[in-house]
Amino acid sequence: MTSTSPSPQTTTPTKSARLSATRLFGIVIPLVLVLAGFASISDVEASLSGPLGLIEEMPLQYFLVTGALVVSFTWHVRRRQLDTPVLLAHVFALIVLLHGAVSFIEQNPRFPVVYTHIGLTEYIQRTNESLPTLDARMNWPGFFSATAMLNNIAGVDSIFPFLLWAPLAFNFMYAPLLFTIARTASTDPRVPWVTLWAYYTLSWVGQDYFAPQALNFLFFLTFVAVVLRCFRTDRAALPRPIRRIGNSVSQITGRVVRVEKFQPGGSPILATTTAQRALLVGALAAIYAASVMSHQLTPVFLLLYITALVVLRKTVLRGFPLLMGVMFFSFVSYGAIGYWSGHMDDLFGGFGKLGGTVKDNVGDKVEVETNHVWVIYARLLVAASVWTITAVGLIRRLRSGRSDIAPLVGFVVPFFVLGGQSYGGEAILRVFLFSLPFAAVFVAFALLPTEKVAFGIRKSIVFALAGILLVPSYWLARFGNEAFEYVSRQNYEGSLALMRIAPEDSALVVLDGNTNNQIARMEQFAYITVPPTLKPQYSNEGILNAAAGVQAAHTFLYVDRAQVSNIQLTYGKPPTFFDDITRQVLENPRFKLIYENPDARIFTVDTTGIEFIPPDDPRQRPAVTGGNNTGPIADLNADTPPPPLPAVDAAPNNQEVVNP
Amino acid sequence: MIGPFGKKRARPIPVTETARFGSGYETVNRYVGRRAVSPLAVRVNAVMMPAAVALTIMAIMDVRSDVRMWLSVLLILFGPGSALVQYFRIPDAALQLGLILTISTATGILLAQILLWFNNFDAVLASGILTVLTFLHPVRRQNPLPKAESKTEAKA
Repeated sequence: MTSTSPSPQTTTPTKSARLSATRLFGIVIPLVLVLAGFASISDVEASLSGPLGLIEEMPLQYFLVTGALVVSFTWHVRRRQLDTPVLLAHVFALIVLLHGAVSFIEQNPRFPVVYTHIGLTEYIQRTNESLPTLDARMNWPGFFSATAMLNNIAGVDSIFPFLLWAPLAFNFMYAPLLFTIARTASTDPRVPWVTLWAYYTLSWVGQDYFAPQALNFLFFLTFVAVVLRCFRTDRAALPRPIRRIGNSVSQITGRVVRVEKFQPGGSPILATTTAQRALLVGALAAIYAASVMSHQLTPVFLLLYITALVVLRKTVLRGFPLLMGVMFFSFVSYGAIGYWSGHMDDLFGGFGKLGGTVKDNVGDKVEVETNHVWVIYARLLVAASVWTITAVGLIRRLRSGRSDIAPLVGFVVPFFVLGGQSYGGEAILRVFLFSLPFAAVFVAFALLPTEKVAFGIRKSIVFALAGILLVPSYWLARFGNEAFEYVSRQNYEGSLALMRIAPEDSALVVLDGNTNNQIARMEQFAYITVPPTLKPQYSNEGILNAAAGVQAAHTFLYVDRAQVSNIQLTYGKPPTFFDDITRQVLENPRFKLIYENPDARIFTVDTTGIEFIPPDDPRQRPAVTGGNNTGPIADLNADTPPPPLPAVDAAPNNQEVVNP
Repeated sequence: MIGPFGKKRARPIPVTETARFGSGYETVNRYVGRRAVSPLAVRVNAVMMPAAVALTIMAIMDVRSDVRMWLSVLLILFGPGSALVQYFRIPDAALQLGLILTISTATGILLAQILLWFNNFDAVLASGILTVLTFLHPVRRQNPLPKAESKTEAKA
């Protein structure tokens, strides 16, 4: 993998100086490009993101910088002697520019769900216990309890600064393991670097924010890297029941690609002693245990992958899937009983319903009514392109006489999860995430199927052009939802104000689930989201009825930019919806505005005397008009400008009144 | 041989040996280093040990500062892993680094779960345990890998 340096006796001072100068420039140029890239985005305003997301605000200079980085990387990776520090600097720069730029732009952790994670952590930190009935995620409390422990060690309520840079940190952590996985697939020293480049440019899924999935993906990569590096075997025969099938597949494939016999691809495994292997197996068990306690889905992917490798005799860890299965089902049976005892349908309802899962993950999302649908098309296009190039890479490897069973299994196995459940409409995202490391290996194989294949001029141009074009598509696919994934500082302060204002046992009503109102004291509130039948009109009557669903001493309506942006993009609401809905609710004396800042508003809601009518009750009038027909919603198409918002009034019950 | 930035370093001794793995036999090239066989982990651990002690002292004195916050993040990311990875004696730097991060964070999760069962997230206790784990590196770290047994190659 590393460059073979010439011996001291044969290196002339001039050649040595040239090598050092090349290396110096090779390291300095990416760092300069990082600075230039960040300078170009210093004035970007994430709050101005529209239907296509943050890419609408990104300057051309940024894409020129990343283009220059791609060209520089291409020049270095196609050299006869690879220079590890130089390539490392380029990959470092790529990660910072692609995965760190948004943290630099927004200066506040994005994704409203991150604030829910803060709330779950806050509960454990405050009470020293978990509460499975509080939230489904509390049934896998490992990540949140570790964060609570970390907060205590740090002496803070929340490691907030780390949350902002968590995506960058996690992507750095993935790099050495991705490199290791790619190295196990080929002896060609160029393949791991091209794999890294492909992975980071194609990784639009964005599951690297501060969440159990990000940490568990690290566990997944480590587990796979150790198994492939230390416990892989290419010489064991298939088990008898499938040996005939395996031989037939091999013969048919050989006839199709015109290869007589296949050799196993991959580099030699790392030699280890018995003691080392015992320790590594212990480490794998500990890593899997940590994963089982902290995430629902990652242990499933790991179990499927290792089982497939064992069945195909590609690993010597024959009994390990059994141990993994025992650990997984033991925890689910006893540790997560609070979840599955009431959610059997969620867990197993989608089993075998592949069509339903695909519809939840793809079909429903493509039904979005605005220009935002182009973001979804971009994601589908990138995913389809990745899978197509993966197939090309596989075919090129087969035609060169190499069979890569382990990475192929790694690419295929995640798709089996689609037959299990839709995971709240995110199953395809997770499938793409877990298959991407292996897909990236085959993307590298599409370019360099064997060591003997030269990285010629034509190939270099194709690689560089693809790299340059992938950057904007990455920004469109990954940050296309920025309008409602962005959480501004004022939005965050609005949620803090809500925590200050709302006493215990209050009901908190929101118009949309995309919000950050669960940032603390989660067990003290009843959370009400306006039911789907009320959308997209959001009448006052409907909001009041939803609020009356819980008998609480105090009820608050919390409206923030994250909710409003999601509603706007999903239902085509106008850009003035935030002010329009405020005017609408204030037309009804039951609502009083007690807090506002540019991105968050809090209202008290008086539900006295209102009889709650369930959504499926025949008495529930369909929400076909705005509740108050003379309100601003009905006047949206009028030529006259809407009246100004009323001033914030003093709130009853000595509640805080804060003006911006 | 000349290493990065023109510095001299000891030439590795490539050894081709046949060793037994699981159900088959693999012929591999082994890297037998002249120095400690997990050099990256040793270096990281050398940095993390004083950092862990400093953090524990800050926790005992209840010092509130950004330094304590970032030290705690570093400890949970690198501390225990940098000590425990040395037992694996893996010469592969990339795999070492990945294992350091993963074993540290996995240890953090397992420790947090244990503390959760005891309903006790005391800062001093938690940082003390992580500090102890950071010091649990092998006492002798300069031994090269033992020679593998020589076996006749057999059919897979």
